[in-house]
Amino acid sequence: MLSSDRPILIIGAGGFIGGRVVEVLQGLLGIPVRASVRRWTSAVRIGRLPVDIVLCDIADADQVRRAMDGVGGVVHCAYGDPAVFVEGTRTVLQAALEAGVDRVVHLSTMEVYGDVEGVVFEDAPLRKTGWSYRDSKIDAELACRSYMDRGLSVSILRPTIVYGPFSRDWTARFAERLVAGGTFPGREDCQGTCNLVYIDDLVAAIVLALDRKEAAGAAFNVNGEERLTWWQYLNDLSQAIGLPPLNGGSSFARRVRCAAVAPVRTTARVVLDRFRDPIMAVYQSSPTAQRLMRGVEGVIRRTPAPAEYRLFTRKVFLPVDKARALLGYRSQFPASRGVALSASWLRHHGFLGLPEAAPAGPL
Amino acid sequence: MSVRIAVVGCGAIARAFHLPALAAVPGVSDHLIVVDHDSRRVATAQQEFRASRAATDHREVLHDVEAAIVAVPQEFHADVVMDFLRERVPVLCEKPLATTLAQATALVTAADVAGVVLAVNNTRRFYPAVRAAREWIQAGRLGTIRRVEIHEGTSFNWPLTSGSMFGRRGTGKGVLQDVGAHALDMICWWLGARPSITRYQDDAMGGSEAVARVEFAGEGCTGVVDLSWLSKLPNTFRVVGDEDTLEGGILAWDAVRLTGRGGSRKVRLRPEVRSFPRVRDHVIADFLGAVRGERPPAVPAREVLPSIAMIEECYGRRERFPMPWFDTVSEASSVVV
Repeated sequence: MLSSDRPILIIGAGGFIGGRVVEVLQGLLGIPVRASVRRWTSAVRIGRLPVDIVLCDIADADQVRRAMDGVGGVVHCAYGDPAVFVEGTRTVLQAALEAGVDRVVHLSTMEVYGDVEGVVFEDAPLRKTGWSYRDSKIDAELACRSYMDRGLSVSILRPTIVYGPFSRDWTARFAERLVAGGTFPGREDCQGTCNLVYIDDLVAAIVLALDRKEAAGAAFNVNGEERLTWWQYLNDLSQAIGLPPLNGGSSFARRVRCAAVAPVRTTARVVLDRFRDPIMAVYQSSPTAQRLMRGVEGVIRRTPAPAEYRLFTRKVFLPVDKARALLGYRSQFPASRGVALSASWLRHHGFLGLPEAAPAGPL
Repeated sequence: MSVRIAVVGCGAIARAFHLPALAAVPGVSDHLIVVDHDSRRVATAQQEFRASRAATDHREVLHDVEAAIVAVPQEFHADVVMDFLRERVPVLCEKPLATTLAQATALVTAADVAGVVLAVNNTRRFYPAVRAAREWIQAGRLGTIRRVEIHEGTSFNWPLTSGSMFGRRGTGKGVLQDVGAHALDMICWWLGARPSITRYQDDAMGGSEAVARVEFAGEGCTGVVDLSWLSKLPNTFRVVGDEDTLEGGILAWDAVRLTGRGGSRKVRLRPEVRSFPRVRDHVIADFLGAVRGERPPAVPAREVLPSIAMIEECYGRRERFPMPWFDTVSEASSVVV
């Protein structure tokens, strides 16, 4: 199905996943893409390649229709305000239906299964819990189902913890915290299953979902194939960036610290959400305010968040048997390789101190 | 004293920098003309900054202004600035003055012939720590300079109104020509000379680079400049002399650090400007003073020619960084073979 006749539209190309899809499709595989971003600010990474970049907000049906003109496939990686995202996804699907697109690959998440534990296959029920991110992703999947019924060829991917170069949540922030001497939950609070998938494995799954006819109308877990604990991942990352193994000290003390900082974290988030502009004006005009705000931000970033305890203790695993059987998916990036590549990227981009030239050889 | 001034280009830099500063100057705000080829954008700017007039082509206002600020995309700087100089209109141009040394030299010559001010908004020169470094180096207080390092980067967050720098339709010139225009100008300004490029690496792959490293040497000194649009770097400089070393934050307002045989100590700065809004006011006041003939501009165009030459030399010998995380051969490749 993949061909070089018509470009693939990547919606959300300014993000971590969409950016890598662009790099792999056009930069490594030579498949023409049209990369859509909501703001030009997001185009820096993909702008390094000779890519056709268009502005497209999924909340704007006209922009979506224009972006969809003449494309052969669509990868929908956009996310944003949950209130806008679901309707925006419908807009994307409607435009794809009208444009006669061969295949839409919709990026969902493992979170659609809810806070379940154990082994979770694709036929598990989707569970809303009131968390807007999760609930909106479920609603977007339901929208995909309704468009499948109307004849649109859609494939849904449910990636797990996607890490690697340009991952803020699971790579850069952890590394920054490690470098800053911050803490993580203790060893016994990090025994949950990490469900780590390297970004290039996810992109391979996206390419397969674009290409294989078996992908149409189906949803797939996309995960790595190792069952690492969070403690193992964080330890591997720490050592890969040249730091000692994690300190296995008192879990109780860490929980106390987390609880003590939690109100500061919540207050900072609420205040910043409501008063961002005046706060940034004060930040820009006062060195004292800059020092104070950076200090608070540093404390928050170096301390485990309550949500991390829930995630890091959760024992859930998402097998990829279905993707293996129907798409031919195989994870090519065990954690040892993915973490090494991530460390190389972190070093080059100055997350670990002054930037360093990357090694020339393969990792 | 009133000045009829045009701001050409109403994108991110004009809206964040020039227009707010001009709107606050008595005698200027009443005669402000905004120009942008995008009619909606220029109408918005006219309303927001209470400009007296709006136009969609700078050629419409060439004969109606006493000064111009040029803030169009970089690749159009040379043509637009030249149009104003030919009409003997003084210009403050956003950095870089031009995208080639030949263009920049032609503009300097044109300004000389016309006998008008041509200034460049290389704002780093107004920042206290950068000024302090220049004064200390030029006064010989660090001894002979042996090493200069600048590390400047942040996740790109300018609210751009055009994608002219990126991708297939972009200029192929990114962070070096943008942030690098400041950093390399700092080096030439500090040293009073133009070092030679010994190596230049970036991450462009047919588009515009987002991360770059410049290595240079000259006048008995070596140095490195790291630039990034993709991650936060320390945003610091370090100047090593054979007597003392000066280190500071590029955007620091209050202090720099001096290390030498006498130990390491913080040196307090007492700058005229202590915040970003004050920098922009200062830049505009400097230009208006030059237009009125009160003093030469702080950054005359002739002074930025060495840094433009360095940028051109870099692009002429660009190498791609090794990026093993980019060049992975994914299983995906087997799908399309």
